[in-house]
Amino acid sequence: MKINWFKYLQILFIIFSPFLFMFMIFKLVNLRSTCVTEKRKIAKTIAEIHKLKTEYNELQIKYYSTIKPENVDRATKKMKALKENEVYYIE
Amino acid sequence: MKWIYYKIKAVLGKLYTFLKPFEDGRLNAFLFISTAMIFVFTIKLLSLSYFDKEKFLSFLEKQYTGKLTLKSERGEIFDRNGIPLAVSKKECSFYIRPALIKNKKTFIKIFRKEFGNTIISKKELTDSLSKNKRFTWLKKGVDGNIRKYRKKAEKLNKNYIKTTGEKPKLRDLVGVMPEYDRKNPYDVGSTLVGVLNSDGRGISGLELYLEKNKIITGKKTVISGTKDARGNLYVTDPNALFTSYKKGNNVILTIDANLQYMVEKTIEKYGKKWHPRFINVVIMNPKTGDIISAASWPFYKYGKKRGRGFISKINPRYINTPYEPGSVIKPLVIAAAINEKLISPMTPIRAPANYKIDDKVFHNEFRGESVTLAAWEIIKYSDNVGIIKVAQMLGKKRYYRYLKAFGFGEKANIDISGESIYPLRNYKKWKNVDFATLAFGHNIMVNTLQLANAYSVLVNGGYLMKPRIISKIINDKGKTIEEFPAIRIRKVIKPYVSKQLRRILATVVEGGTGTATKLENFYVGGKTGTAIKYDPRIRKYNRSKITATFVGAFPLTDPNYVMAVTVDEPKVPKNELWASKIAVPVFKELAERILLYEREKPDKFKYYFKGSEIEKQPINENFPYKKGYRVK
Repeated sequence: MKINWFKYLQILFIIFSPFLFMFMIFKLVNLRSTCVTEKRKIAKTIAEIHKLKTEYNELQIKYYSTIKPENVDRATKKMKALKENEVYYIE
Repeated sequence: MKWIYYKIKAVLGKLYTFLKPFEDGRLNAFLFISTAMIFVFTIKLLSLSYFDKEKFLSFLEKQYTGKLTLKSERGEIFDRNGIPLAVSKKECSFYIRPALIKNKKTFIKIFRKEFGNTIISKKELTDSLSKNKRFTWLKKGVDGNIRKYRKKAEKLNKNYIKTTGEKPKLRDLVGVMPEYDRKNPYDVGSTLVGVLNSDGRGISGLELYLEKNKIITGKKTVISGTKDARGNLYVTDPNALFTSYKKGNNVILTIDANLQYMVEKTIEKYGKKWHPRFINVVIMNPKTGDIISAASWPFYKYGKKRGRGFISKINPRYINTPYEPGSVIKPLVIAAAINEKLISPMTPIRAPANYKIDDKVFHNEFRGESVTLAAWEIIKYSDNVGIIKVAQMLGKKRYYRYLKAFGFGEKANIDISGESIYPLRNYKKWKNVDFATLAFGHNIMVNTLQLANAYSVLVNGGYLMKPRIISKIINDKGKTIEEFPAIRIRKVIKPYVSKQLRRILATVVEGGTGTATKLENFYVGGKTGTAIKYDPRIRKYNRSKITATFVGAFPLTDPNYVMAVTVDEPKVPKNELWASKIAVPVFKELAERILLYEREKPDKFKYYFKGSEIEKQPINENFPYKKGYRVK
């Protein structure tokens, strides 16, 4: 008598298919949750970049408001008193 | 007409008799009216569901969907060293709905409990509450964390509604919105960078130009969402999480903010001393056409209250106030004549004491003495008769062509809003006297920038450059979007003519009308121009009203800077009403500062060590012309 192995394989497949289905579902859920987490991370990073940019902008404003061109003017004038004009150009 | 009536009546009667299903007239009437109504109803149904389907669907969609428009942040403006001249700063703006707040006392109490008295004063709060409007701004430009303020505002609104039991139509009685305020941390260049109005729109200078050309303003970002019954919008698109403000591009200028400050400080000093109508200064790099600094006094100081005369204080007069330049035009006449090979710098020109053209007599600079001058000496002594003679050699047509080639009568197309020029009158309409006065800068209107640009041609080898103020446009990430290279518009004079002109201009400072500009270590060259102004009140030229100009270049052996100074109507004693007394001191002070600031190498002396001692040796001694017919 010839045994139909294919039939047994079908039984096996039927038995394991719910598990396979569940495995796929879990995998999909896992993938989706990973996506959501990563999305959140990206959004957080974007927010952080924006925050840092705003902070940099504010610091820049503060820095240049403190430096003031008056100070640059005064500092370069002082060099004149030191006869920088004459010393600097020596070849 | 009656027979028509009877005919129609007979036809309708026959039709009714043919159609009527019932014997009873009332039943028939009921049937016909019902059929007509069904017909109308069917048409309306078709119109709603088929013909006007799109219109009604979009109307429906509007009721449950909405759009959130994110206002873009304005780009920044930097000088050539990266110093921010105009930047946007995120700030919080508080709004309030006074008409929806019934119990004002309780509201003030809760407000002070949440926000204290530091951010918004009690007076500001009571003033806003008394307005009885559905929406009004409580305070704008508040520094701080917007999220923190929003949480506090929400808590305040909840507390108020809970305490009073009121049911306002809108629950955000107080709210906070982010807004971008324009800051100018370096506080320089208001006539150049420009200012914004209260709505954040550019109203002058570069701010206006860049906005008009959509360079500095970012694109509007629109996010769609769904609305609830109250009309609150919820963003449902998951990708909206990654949407952010699309900031405008940043612009890098050719301006040096420190030099701009020095220029503004200097012209303010002289402005307060002489009380002129205005003082303009333009500093250019003749090799590239880069504008290093441009200012006009009186100017607006950033952060100060915009009171009376504000509009005049933000006006870039150096590009939009043409005036008669006077003798500063003379070197251009000489350049044209040398370029046409009509004369050389040493060509003798006879300048009689009195020179009559039609009915007008012109006098030379030598008080009754007829002289012979070398062409370069005409510039040194600023002689009117000599220059008229050179212009006559050129002829009207050629002189007109050269004036055009030097950039007069046409816009320089600088990237600042508000450029205005005076068209050049066609040479065919010039009378002989007009032509003569044109040779020494009358009957022609130019602005300060045009003069600086024309002198750049004289000293840079003969090329008319396009004045450049924007060097680069970069995006928010620092990537270059567009670069603006130096553009040579046309060749006006030959390089050897330009060199000769530099040597001629040096004589003005070394021993002519501009000696007050002489520097110890550098050759400076330029030309003074004292133009007497036409007074419409007395209908003639008024000797007590002048426009003093000095345009020059330095270090003259290889110029890196061309500077034009215009002082209009200074209020000084009559004996001081000369460009050599008015425009020259401004020029000298600025030239000294620029050379020191930029560490330029002297072109008059070479410095070296001999042992431990510093020695100096003169160089380029023969650069200025020395021998002429007047100077032996």
